[in-house]
Amino acid sequence: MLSDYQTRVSPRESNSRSVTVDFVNAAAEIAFDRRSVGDINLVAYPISGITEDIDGDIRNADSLIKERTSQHQ
Amino acid sequence: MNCLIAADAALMYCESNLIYNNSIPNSSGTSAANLYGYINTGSPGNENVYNNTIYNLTVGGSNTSTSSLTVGIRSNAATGTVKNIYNNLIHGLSSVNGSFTTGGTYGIYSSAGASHNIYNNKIYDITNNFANGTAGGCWVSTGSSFMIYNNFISDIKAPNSSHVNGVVGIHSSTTTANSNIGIYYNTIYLTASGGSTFGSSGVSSTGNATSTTANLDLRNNIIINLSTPGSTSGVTTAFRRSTTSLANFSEPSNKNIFLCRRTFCKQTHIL
Repeated sequence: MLSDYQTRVSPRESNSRSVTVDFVNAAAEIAFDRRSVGDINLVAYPISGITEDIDGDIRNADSLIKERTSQHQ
Repeated sequence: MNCLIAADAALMYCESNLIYNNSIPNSSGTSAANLYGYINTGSPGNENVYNNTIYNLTVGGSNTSTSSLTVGIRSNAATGTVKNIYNNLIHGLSSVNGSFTTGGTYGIYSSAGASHNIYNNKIYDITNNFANGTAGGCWVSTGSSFMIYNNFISDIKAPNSSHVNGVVGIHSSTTTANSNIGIYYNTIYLTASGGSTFGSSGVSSTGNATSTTANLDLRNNIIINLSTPGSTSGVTTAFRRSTTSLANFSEPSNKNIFLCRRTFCKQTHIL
């Protein structure tokens, strides 16, 4: 269980999640499925020095993952 | 077989190449049979490998060397080299040989160097058919700084392997003193299966009781491992560490998505 892991590694991973993420082309070059677009569990914290995603789009703290593109925000 | 060998220049660029449909169809014997899409064994001050497409590299036959490597981008530079490996598309690699810790089938394998910056790469369909083989998206070892981010890794397979860690998305085996590993914003999706003791990991790293040795910062990754573990043993895990010590697991590590089909936190050394 994720909770067991979080207890074991605390204070690390306190905001990590175990949720379903949907992809298209899962057996090839994957991309996010629209069902995962807008999932607030997939919003991440900014990391200094990494300002763009794999598509070259600017990251920000409020961004959700994008439909038919290829990067977790 | 080396499809493309880097020039040994102080400032080296390898960009926008198409490397595809190369094979060693009838390998044999017990000596290593290696196939590299790109390889650098020189000593550039700065190594830049980007915008390359590498696919359909295969090793067939009967070679049984555990040291055999089939790799899309292989960098084994000097200790002072700064590496930038980005925007590459690598897929369709397969082999019949190679296993941890000296061989295997990998999209990117980077060792030696001062700084390893590996980002924005798409890696999928990497297969090792060896009986105890290992396959991975990205494998790094030896160096002082690793930044691995924005990579998409999926469909890594070792269907005949009984290796306890036969398939990995990202693997770090570095034990370099005063080294840091940042793994951020990667998306890893695995659905592998293997032999009776087969195991797999989304991210696998070397634990150490010294906090400054291979200190790992793991944030903002989506790590989905739906692989099937071996029938008698073996663990499917999102994140695996080689020791119980958390000393070199950076406390800011957070905000990851972990999802596994079967087991999670099952064994002492597996988180």
